[in-house]
Amino acid sequence: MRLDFRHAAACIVLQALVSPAIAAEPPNPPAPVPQPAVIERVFRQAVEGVVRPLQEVQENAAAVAQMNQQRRQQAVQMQQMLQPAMYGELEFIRATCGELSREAKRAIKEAAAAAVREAAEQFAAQQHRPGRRSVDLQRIFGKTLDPIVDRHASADAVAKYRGEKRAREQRRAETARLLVVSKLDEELDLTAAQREAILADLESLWDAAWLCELLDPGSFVVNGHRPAPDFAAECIEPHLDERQRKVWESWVRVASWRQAGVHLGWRFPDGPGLNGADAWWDR
Amino acid sequence: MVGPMIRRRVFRPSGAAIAGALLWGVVAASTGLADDDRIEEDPLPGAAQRQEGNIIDLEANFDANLFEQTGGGLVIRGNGLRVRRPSPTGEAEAESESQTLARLRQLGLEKLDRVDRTCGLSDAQQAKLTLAVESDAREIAEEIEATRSRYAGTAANFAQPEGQKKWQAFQQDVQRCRARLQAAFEADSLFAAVLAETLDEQQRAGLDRESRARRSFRWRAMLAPVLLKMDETLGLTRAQHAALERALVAAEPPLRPEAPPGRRNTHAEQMLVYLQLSKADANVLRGEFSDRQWRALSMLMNQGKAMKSWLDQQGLVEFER
Repeated sequence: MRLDFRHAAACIVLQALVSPAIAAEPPNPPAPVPQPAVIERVFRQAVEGVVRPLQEVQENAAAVAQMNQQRRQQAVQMQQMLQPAMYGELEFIRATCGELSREAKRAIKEAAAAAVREAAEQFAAQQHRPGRRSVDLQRIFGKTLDPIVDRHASADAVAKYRGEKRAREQRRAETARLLVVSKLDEELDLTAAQREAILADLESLWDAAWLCELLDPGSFVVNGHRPAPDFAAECIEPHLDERQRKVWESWVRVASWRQAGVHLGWRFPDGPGLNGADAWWDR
Repeated sequence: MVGPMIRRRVFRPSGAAIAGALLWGVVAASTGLADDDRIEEDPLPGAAQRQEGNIIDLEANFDANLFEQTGGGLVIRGNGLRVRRPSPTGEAEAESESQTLARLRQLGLEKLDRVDRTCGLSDAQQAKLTLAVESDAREIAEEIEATRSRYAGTAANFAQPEGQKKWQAFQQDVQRCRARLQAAFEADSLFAAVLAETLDEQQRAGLDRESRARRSFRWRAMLAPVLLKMDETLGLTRAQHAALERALVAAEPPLRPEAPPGRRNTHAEQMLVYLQLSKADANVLRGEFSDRQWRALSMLMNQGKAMKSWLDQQGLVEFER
């Protein structure tokens, strides 16, 4: 875009200087004849206007190529890091679906590997974008694997698989709620009754977006505080006493989730896990 | 809808502004030096000067490690030797109250405040317990200060074996003082004894109930994310998750009711969960898992057991008596 614009502008200027009769209307009084020095300067500017953007384009292309190379390397490293999660997911399918045909096993294994590749590429791409967003590995596994399991497993197995997945989602939500209340307890010193009341409200008004609490590794601190779970303020504030409300308000002022949460974009399913591939999937 | 446009304001200082800032900097620096003439960087002679990066001021690092770090963490601050010079007036300057005593008093009063919120203390009870806090704080502060004073004006040179030995002894002393700080106002303290005497039956029951509930809640909140990680890496079913959760709830450790201030030590929490899992009845658990899963779980449990002595230093669990 920039190249075209400069080029066009230079052409118009040159045209205006060389053919003043076209540019000026009416031709009365006669247009001044441009001096050779002026023509040369304008011509040089026009040529530079074409050549410099070309150099910029080449430089940008080199930078983009380098960035892509970095992204590819990061994606490969990430694929390695996601192997334990993939083995875990395959174990989960094996436990819930039971016996599967050889063809089904192959299709599921391939789909799991594809999901890991996709997650790794998404992660690497996010690293190069300002305002990183999270990469939800479970969502990617679900999107890729669910249709394959539906296609290849028996109806009973599919029902069991789906039921177990829902239960796992509920466990994630319950963990997020516990972590929210635990964090509040550390900052506000809640009573047992307050903890239970907030937990109950978090459950009844639950919003899946609040799973973001799982992204907080616990060690991340802003202005001396961990990010405040103010996304769920409606479940928290009604249960605080005056002292706690003051602490809560100042906490939210210095470390609200909106300020701090943007820095939390990824939760690694780390640990040794299942130690390698399961030969069952190749039988 | 068009969003608000964000403009970045660029500050371009004029020549006069730069000259003014430079002049102010010189004046401020000279005033600063005049105010701080008791402490100065000591030029290190000869070979020691070349090894400046290896010399650690132990006195300054004592406070940094005692108050700013938890568990087994160690920090090294401000390489280079700093020595105290005598006061220019020749008079001994009054030492301000020690940081250790102030910190201990704050911890004790926070604990007392928590008891008050739970039980509603009378003025007489408040007064007695405040005295107990002060007494405990002074006793522990004195012990810590005695250790701290051994490092006054001393440094360890990492480049020499003697310096490395000194650093190891320093680490052990810091760990011991840290443990003393963590256990302040707990079971063996005067505060605990006065509390037991001072509260009436109803207050004591309320406090016990609240402490137990907080401990159990902290344990639930500690094990849930670890189980979630296992969910993802071991592919647990509902029944398997429930079996692990049951075993872990039954193996609740004597957690300190209050979490150490600041960021969570999630690594220590994870290791504690693995350690407690290793105490569960393996015969009951084993049948719930596939061979692959059990192998992975055994590895985690062994990892937890191997970290036992490290975990003891982290201050998550009360000392076993």
